[in-house]
Amino acid sequence: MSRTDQITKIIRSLSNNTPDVEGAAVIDNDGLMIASALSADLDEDSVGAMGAALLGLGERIVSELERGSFELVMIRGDNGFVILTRCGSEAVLACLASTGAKLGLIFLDLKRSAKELSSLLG
Amino acid sequence: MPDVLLAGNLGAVSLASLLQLADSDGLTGCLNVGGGELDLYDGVLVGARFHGLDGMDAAIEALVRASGPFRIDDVTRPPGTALMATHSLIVESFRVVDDLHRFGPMVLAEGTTEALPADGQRPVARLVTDHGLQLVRVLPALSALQDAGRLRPLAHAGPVELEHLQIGGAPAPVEMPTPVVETGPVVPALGFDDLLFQARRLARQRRFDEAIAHMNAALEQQPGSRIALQNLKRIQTLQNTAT
Repeated sequence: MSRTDQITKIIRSLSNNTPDVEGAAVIDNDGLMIASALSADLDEDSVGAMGAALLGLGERIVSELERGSFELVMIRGDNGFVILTRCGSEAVLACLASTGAKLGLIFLDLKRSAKELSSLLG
Repeated sequence: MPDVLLAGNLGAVSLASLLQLADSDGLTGCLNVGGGELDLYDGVLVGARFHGLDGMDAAIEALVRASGPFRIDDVTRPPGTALMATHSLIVESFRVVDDLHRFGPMVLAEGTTEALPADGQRPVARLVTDHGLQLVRVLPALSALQDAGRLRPLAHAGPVELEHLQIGGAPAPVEMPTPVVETGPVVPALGFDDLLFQARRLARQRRFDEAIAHMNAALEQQPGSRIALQNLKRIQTLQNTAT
């Protein structure tokens, strides 16, 4: 199984097994999609570009405000959440969750998935 | 009459090499070649007109088809936006050349398309010649026609056959910019997955031309890969932003 297949398997598992997670993707720091388990109606170009923008802003904020290293950023909208968390030094795991999602459970699964991804991505 | 900065013949130096020279030396002027004009500003291609085309299409068409004498006049055009990075432009011209090799000797079924007046006998390269068609417009459509089974190989066709086909009525045989191949990024023989990861690593190092070459090589292996297509588009965006 290729590295991309292994990464895709992890994020599909996250999407399928965690309640209220609607999709996930692994994006590198420049917004290049590494693997995706997003619904077909989502534009992967936009997800990649926005993921990179959000990551850049998040990293700058924690740095400027002396909050240590970037770990996670979450945005809440009317229809749910966008959560970005680090999985290695060169990539982030992006997760889309529905409104009313149990965030504690999602954070737990995200952390576990990010750790697995981090070991694959090096 | 403007001063001539440089003149010669594309039989001795390819247009791709000329553009790279202009790029590295920051030349400003108007490159007259094959009846067309390419506008250079500070080494960057900012305008092009060739065979009835404008802009990037004209530049790519010229890279593939222009032959004969050239002249760079000392004419200062208003600074404009770069059509595309010189290396990327050359890589794009490779694609056209590849398509020309692939489709040129093939025969299109009669009455397939109005744009290509096919008679079921003449090869595609001959149709282009006879009807003065533009390669950048014709070749991209042929891939879909091949998938639809509307193209077949010409009997006895081979590389030699293609070399004898005149493109666009040019007196010389089709010119393939082989010198460019030597100067382009080298892509190692890797599997699809390794090419993707290598391309991303190169993009992180801001070695965009090499990253694009790797991503194109990956797409040759899996043309429909959504991930590879997204990555290529994103790398090109990053490259344009950087330049």
